[in-house]
Amino acid sequence: MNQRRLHRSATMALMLSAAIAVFVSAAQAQTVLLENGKIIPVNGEPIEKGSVLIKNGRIEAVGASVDAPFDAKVIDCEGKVIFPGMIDAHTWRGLDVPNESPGVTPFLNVYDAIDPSQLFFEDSLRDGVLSIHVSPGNNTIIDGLTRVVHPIGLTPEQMTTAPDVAMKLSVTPKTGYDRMRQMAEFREAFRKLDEEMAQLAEKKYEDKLREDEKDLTVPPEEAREKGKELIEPKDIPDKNRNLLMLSQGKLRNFVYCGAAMDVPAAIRTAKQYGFFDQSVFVLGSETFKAIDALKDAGRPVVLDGNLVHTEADALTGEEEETFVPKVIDDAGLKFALQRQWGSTLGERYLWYQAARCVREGISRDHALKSITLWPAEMLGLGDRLGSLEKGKDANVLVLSGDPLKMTTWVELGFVQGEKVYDKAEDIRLNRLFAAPEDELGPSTAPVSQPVEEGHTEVHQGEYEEPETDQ
Amino acid sequence: MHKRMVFTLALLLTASVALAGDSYAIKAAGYLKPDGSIEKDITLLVIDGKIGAIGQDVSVPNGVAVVERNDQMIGPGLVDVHTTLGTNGRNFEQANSIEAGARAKELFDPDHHDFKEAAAAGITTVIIAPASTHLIGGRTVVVKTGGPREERMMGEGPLKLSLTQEAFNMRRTPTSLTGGLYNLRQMIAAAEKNKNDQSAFARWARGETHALVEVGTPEGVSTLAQFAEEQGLKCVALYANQAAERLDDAKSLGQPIVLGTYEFSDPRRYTRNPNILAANDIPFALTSSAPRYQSALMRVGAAMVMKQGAPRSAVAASLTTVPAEIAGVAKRVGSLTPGKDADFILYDGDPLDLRSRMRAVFIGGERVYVSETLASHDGSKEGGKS
Amino acid sequence: MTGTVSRYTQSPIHPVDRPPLRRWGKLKYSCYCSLNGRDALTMRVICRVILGWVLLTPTTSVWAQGGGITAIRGATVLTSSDAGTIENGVVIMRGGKIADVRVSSGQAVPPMPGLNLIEAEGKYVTAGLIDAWSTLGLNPGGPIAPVATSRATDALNVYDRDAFADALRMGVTGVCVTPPAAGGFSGTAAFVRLKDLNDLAGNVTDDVCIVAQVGLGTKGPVSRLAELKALRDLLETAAAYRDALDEYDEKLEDYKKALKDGKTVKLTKDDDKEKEKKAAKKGEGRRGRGRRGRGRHPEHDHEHDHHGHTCVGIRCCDEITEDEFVEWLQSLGEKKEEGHVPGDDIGNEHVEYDPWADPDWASDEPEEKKDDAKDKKDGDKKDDDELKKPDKPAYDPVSEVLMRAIKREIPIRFEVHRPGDVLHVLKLIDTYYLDATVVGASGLLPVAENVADAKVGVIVGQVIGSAGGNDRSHLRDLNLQSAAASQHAEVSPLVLSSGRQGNGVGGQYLTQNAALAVSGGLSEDAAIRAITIEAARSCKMADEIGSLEKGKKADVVLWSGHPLAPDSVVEKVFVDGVEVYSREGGQ
Repeated sequence: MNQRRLHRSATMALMLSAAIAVFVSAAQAQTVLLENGKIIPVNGEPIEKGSVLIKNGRIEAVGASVDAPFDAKVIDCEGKVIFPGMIDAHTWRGLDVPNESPGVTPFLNVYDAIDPSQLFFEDSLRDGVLSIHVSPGNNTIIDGLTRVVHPIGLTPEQMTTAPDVAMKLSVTPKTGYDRMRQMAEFREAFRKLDEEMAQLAEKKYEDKLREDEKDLTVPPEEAREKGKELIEPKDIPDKNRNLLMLSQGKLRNFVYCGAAMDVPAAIRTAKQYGFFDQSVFVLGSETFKAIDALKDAGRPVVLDGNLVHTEADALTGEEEETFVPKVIDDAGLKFALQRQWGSTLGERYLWYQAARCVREGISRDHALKSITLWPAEMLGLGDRLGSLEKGKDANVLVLSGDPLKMTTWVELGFVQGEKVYDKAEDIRLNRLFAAPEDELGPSTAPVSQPVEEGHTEVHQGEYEEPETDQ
Repeated sequence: MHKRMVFTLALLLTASVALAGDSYAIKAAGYLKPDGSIEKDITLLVIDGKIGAIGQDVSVPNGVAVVERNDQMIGPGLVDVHTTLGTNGRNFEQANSIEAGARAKELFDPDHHDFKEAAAAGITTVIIAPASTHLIGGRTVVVKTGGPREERMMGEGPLKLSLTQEAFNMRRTPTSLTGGLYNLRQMIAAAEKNKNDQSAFARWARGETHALVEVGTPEGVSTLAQFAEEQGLKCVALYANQAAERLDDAKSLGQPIVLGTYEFSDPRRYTRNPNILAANDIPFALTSSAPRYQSALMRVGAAMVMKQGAPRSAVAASLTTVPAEIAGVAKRVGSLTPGKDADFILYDGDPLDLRSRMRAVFIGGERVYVSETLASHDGSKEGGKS
Repeated sequence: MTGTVSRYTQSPIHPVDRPPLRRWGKLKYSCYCSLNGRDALTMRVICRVILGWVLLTPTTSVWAQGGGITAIRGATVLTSSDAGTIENGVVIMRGGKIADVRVSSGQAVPPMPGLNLIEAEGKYVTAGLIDAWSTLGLNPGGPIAPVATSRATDALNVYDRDAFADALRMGVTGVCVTPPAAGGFSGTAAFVRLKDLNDLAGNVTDDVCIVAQVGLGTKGPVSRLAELKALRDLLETAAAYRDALDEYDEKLEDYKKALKDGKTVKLTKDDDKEKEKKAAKKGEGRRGRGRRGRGRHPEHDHEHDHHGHTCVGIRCCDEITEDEFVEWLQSLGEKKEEGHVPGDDIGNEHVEYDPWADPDWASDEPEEKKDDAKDKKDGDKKDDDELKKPDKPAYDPVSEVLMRAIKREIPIRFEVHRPGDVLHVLKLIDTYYLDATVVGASGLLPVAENVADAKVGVIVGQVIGSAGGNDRSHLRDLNLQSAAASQHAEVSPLVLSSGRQGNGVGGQYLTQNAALAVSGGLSEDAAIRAITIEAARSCKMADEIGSLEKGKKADVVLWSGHPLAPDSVVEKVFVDGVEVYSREGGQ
């Protein structure tokens, strides 16, 4: 028994390292020409047969005919589709737990908690999601800084596409809180910030006088005003730095609104504390009822992975279903789709979510943008990610067919010009599809063998929704 | 001072009614007819605990005391079709889900204070039912809430069943609704074969009598309607507070629907039901579910559903005639009709109006409740209500 | 799935019951109805003035402002004001206000443009009903975790329009939404006027009152022993905080004046460290002072004047040790032996129990306090010549809120049920001279006279409910409960409300709750007032709404019969003179 277990874990370890090895070893900056493929650049009309030239980690050229340098590695994409890497606009996955237990922790940074070995990243890669906005979960008040990563690399450092992208907040009450208390905490956090900054300014002014050996001659409010200019970045305590940037409108922020009634509260709060112009609202499925408020706000939104909202009429009990993205799209808002985890259906694939949007009447253009260009824009990375354009990061996918088609696979994936995924070399996938007699065939253990209690695979339960989330 | 004397007099007169013995007459401002209307300036003649006559032209025989209650109105005693009064929780059978032979008449304590409370709320006749935690709870019993102890028992009522989630758990069979219905089918088939079986269950199974079946959800109404149609059963849906959402099924049951218990905090999804049922000619009865809820909520519920638009006639019937039918005692109670038991209530206004206070409650001609606060608060009352 | 069914983008209210929203100032040019005499004259004059105004105004937007006149004529008007009941009255609304309420002459009136005349013979008119204590539309979305800084507005689900529409169609035009409390201070209530269900947030008045609870705690202190102490401590801290802020303001004024006069503050490097040290110590001292700064023990001559009201006798035991606590408990036990148990004699008119006058209740003055004071004095003396920057008291969010109650800027409501608790709360109200109301009060009957003496308002919830309570058996008789309610009316103006229902509904059955109170002995007039003007008064809104009086906001309800009768229905509701609900089309 022990032997078997040992054998298994060894196999697991081998597989894992092999998988990583494949991805990493292939990673070399090189000049690559993807030719003869159908190009869907997202920001423009598709090119039926064209080429994409990747050089120095960026997209050098996109077009029907591209002049390639002699040393370019040419990959024939005949019959394939070239598509920008998809973007997950908001997820807590990649972290060990979604949230810290105190509610107000603006000084935290997901950098400290990203676990590169999580299967989540490997799956994302396989599913064509080449940029992931890892953010604290929704069970919070003011949480820490987020980060955009690509699902390849051995350390968070290596994985980083863009650091400290945004701050995560939630107006929907965190566990153990009610709405009133949640808002009271918001008010108190910003009041405290103001007070502490004022005190700092006063102190700075007095310190300066002290240095100049002068006497204090002005009342406190004047000292504070004068001291403001004396504050240097290094003086600001760590715990306040991010919150200060937020309140000065210098920090992008993702605000979670779980229910319709949270939307006006989020807008009000964002405006009151000066970060509205940088806000992205992360919406629960019921929030479409607040579409008027959302429309007036005109800020981009991240939609819940659950695209259909079902509700019984309060009076008649009749159930009504609403396809939420359609309501948002009709209002003219830019939106990003999220993956829905824990579901056995296709909702854990971004392309599936987008395909459903098309089925429900959203234009194909908008559906594709909602998983590529729009999330890039709301992350402030519109100039780097989200479409196949000259100068952008070479995050490129080669697909076996149309991105919204059920039978399509990701064949090749490039992150910043490096080939990081090749379906032919995807050990896990190959093993899954291999015939029993193949070398890499499915588990050789007899079917009748019961799985021992306590036997855990690496990262088992990774995709289980923690109860605290949402 | 003068007022106080009047009250003392009034009290004495009320007291004298109780002492008057077998026969007396009450002259009142009006009485509530079964159709919900009020006939004004009437005389009620009570003979030997029964209603002798009621109406505008009642001749009072010589020697019968006449009590003047010209400021008051008379309403029939209320009938409540689903209570567990006086059971002290003894109606819970833990081991078995099917107890067709159980009889509620063996489980209640006739001296329990629950009965006094119900009588004080104007409820004069109740069905006492086994708990809802059984598929077949057993046979209910119909009792009066007051009067001579030996006369309180009116007889056994319909069988009580439950198709709610409460009735099914993992510790005993059947554990599911489908399993429960399967069991019922088997039992019904057996009962149909044996025509000599005169048990309550067998008679219900053959479609001869009706049973109270607790449902709860709208889906429950549909399930019950299908099952009743398939087996040719008569079923009174109990607590079908959302029956209007399955109107066709409610109609196909062909029996009254029992609704309750209404409280002020109930959403319109529940309280609008009587309105819709009445519009579709489906009779309904209200219940207080005492002692889980206050007995007084029965009248409150009636006022609530009227406020939501239910017609007065249907609401009046829901407290009296319909529940009396369900309990099988319509010949004896439920309306102020000559020959029926003299179960009535004296109100100082319209019996269906919550502003009217119950002055006294009579069962079998005997006064079982008199408003305690009569004297101390009457002054302000008279001052306020002109 | 049926594609996109987005009724919410249109209107969430069920079409059958949807009140005609945004239907501003109705125009009726062709009412060949009869209206003459005095009221006709008034109306004609008003109409002509308006007409003239309209003709002079370049746009016709005046109509959109509700410039038209609505008159309801011939109904029995229950004014809720000194005018009482007016038979065959006329209510005239103009510009969102009530223009006039009086007896109608009943004579014919020729048709006039801009006049919406409603003939309402045999019907009733009241002011819009007000639910003074309600959880209508409240969705806290989590376990109730009240803090004094909570605000009901934050939990108000403005998208729950069905619930608000249900209340509106039952004649409710104003709701005081209170935080659902779970013991202690639980924040401030909000008042919502049901003027426009699509813009509920635009009709909210915040900070109507502070809400507190006694004897219902589900978290934190669960025993009354600790609960009342916590309430007192917080109020005491707030009082001290208020004092400290006042003191600071004074000092700051002096400081500024001194600076203006050319004085300066010497800043030295050594001073820096010392100052920090001192500040830390001061902070401590402040905190200490916050708790017990102004000792209020009668034995220690610490009485002082609070806006013309003397505050006395609070036990200050924030630093109470376990031993002291045990000792104190034992001292309570000793009294028991003497036959004097706190609360034992409640309800007995002859024995007045006053726990606060009890010498054992108050502790000894802590020793350090005197030292503190001495230190302070010395310090003050030493610093007299040198100008010093005053230290601001540390911000205390809870005290910031409670301070407003102590300053009587905002009323405070205590939800309290047991007679004994009522007495304690009355004492608390008296001690801090609070503008307070007792809420809930299901067990008020035995102490009604004390409440009357204290001249404290009473808000009662449902006078009947499920029998779930612990010690409410004595109240299970409906008549007794209602009588209790009527008893309240004799001691102070009674408010009837839907109470703490907790599931986001409320207000629908205000009239039936009032009807029950009538059956218990309350006069009909008082019952109507209890759900209109007295309810408005309890929310400090009586100047604007709550009765049919000239100049008030035109929140008017037209009923088919007497509002308390079970079979009367609401025919029309006007808020600010605009018809927001009409039964036509509904039902």
